[in-house]
Amino acid sequence: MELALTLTILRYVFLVLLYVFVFTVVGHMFRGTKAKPRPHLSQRQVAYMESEGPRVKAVSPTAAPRLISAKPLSGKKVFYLDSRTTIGSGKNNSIVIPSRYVSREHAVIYKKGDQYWLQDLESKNGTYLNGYPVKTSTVLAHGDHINVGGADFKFYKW
Amino acid sequence: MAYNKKVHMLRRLERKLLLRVAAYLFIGTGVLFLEHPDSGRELFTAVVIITCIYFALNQFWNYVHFAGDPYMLSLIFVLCSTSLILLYRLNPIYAARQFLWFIVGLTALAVSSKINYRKLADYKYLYAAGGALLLLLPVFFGAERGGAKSWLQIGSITIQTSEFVKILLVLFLASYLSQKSTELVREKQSFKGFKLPSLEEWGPLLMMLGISLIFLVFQKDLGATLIFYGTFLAMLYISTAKLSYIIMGSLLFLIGGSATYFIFDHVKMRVETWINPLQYAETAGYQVIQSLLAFGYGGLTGAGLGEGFPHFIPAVHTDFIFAAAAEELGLAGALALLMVYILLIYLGFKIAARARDNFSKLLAAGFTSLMALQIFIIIGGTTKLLPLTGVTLPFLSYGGSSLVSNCIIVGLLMNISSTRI
Repeated sequence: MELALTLTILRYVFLVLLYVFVFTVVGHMFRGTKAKPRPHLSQRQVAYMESEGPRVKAVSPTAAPRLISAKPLSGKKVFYLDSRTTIGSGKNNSIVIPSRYVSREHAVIYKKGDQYWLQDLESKNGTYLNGYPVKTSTVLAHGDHINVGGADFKFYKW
Repeated sequence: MAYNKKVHMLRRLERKLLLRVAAYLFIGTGVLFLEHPDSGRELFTAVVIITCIYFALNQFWNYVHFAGDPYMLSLIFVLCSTSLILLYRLNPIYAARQFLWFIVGLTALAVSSKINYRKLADYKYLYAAGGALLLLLPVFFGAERGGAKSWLQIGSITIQTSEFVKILLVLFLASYLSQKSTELVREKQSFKGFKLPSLEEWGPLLMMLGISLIFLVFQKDLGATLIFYGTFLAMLYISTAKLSYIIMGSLLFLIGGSATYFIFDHVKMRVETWINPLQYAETAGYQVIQSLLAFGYGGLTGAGLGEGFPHFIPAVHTDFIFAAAAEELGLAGALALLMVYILLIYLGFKIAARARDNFSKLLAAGFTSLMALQIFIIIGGTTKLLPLTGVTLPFLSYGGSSLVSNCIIVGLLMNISSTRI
């Protein structure tokens, strides 16, 4: 009698625990999807944030894949990408960054199909993509933020 | 560092979810132990070992700073736990064998979650050749089971090769389409208003599909054919975003489907038992009818673990495990298991949407569509929503090949989700 009762209770506990698990997963999974209140921004700022990419460049007819540097490097800010663009402090690089935090051959952006891939050339200070270290070759998306030894770049595909 | 901190948070969440599942598993084991106190010791040891392996995997990922999805492992764990408990309840020998496959599968999962999967994009013709070979071998050296000739015997273990061909198919399609999709979208010729890409781009794809279909007709494995074709269409649509492929593909499928209906007797039989199983209650419809009775007997909260009569259903431990689950856990349990599957599929498509390059996207979407189709086809079959085609239910059915191949799929999905940058 007691055994039968224990078994019945345990069988219900078993089912309940299955649901506890499912609800825990769902709770965590959709926690982030609730609309967060926006910080106070003017209408124009919101409109700008919701628009995709830089608007001025998007309408330009010569919009080719390029890197735009945050600071001018030897007078240039815009670097159009070839099939292989090397970045480093060495003179023979496509993009030369004269900084002691940048390795001689620091990183490379190469074209594969119609995609551009970023690869770190085992540099001393590392290459960061949107704040994460680049360990293996990674494909670049429009609007990505690249940091090479302290120098900031933004990648525009069109 | 921010990255490491984020990884630790993900793995901590994973640990929390794994603990929930461990509680579920131990209560289930307790029920089985109280029913048969004499033979519970082996089960308890197996359950402890399985739980330890999952937590060890979690610790391993934490140690190597693996930033993969935190939910997937616990979803697999809950399905494996249910599988172990149900199989032990059906026949302890099944559970003992499946336990060994769990260890193999989890090892495969751990390996496939850490390999550099982008390298896999380079061997597309190797996949096509390997897939064709794996389909061809059972035709000549295979063993026939349940009308389908798709098992390969090596020593004492039998391998269902079509389970591994699935993976090769998705790998092939992902690497092929990620390189050629721009050409498939480009419209070169128009045919009676429909604009079609030229044959050069279509050729290899159609050939691959034709080969697999021919082999499957020889092997009579209808379920696998359906899954292959569905996955093929889904991936073609995902890579090109052209609805015309879906429409044309479905039309071709309808034509092919009705052709097989008239040519092959076993297909005709399947459809007839689907429309009216009671007419064949003693013969071909027996399995489906027993399955439906099991669903009915289960009711809302089930007969209770160990209180049902699942042995009336033939092949209850493989294709019809969902009927056994519904009988013993009821509608409540069956719906919870369905929810777990839905979450798994949702996660898979989310990983595909977040993946950065075309190959990863297609790979994740392909694997997810594959799993979704398989789940839909077999649960539809057991509930008489669709004609019955024998495929396994991922992670729940008894069967080593199915478990290991699905573990590899989940490992690769987690691998794709870990490369957020």
